[in-house]
Amino acid sequence: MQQFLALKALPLTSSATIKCGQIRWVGHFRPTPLSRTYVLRLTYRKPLSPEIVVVSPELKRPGGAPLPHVYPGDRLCLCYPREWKSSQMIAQTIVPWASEWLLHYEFWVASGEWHGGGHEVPVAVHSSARPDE
Amino acid sequence: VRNFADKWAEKPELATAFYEWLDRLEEDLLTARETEGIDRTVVALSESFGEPIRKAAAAIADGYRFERERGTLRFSTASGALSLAGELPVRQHGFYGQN
Repeated sequence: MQQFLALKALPLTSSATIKCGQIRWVGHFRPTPLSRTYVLRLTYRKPLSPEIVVVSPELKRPGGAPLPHVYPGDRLCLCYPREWKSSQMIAQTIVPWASEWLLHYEFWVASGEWHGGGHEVPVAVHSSARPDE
Repeated sequence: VRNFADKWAEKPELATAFYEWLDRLEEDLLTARETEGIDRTVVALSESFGEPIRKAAAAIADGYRFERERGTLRFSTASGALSLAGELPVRQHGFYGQN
């Protein structure tokens, strides 16, 4: 409930619901004044990790290149395994990190290079959401 | 400072080329101002300024990462904007994922 209330209190929130223990949250992001406005949807049920996807606009893949730092289904992959714990507030961690992903995504579309840092790992290592990863 | 006009008396085609470039620059700046998306802005400005724009964009992107790594990047809870002036600090993390 604490996670839900913190997300709902964010001014950029468009909608926030909680049903059967699952949070569903939608927010609008504009990472820089030059950026587009993105709509992101986050779902979360403890003890799984939050899942966050870009609803609109459709993400670009220049030359058919795969999107950087996503899980299957284009779920944004914002932190290392075990870097995020359910004791941390999503509104203060996952949400700002998602905006940072969007910012570096726009630079990536421009150049094909990811400047946001982080690791690259085989697909098999992270093919599904697991608790606190 | 380079004087673009010093040869124009001998080579008037240089003046023509300069004013054509200036017209294109004006169009590109107007396009960039009305464009949404860093990627499209970089493309629009690169039409007039070329490779230095792409290098500048890379430096800006690296700058955001640098500010986050040293703990000074902040997040606006109203707009989602990242800057040095938002309400929330952007905590250290590493992007993961398959690509």
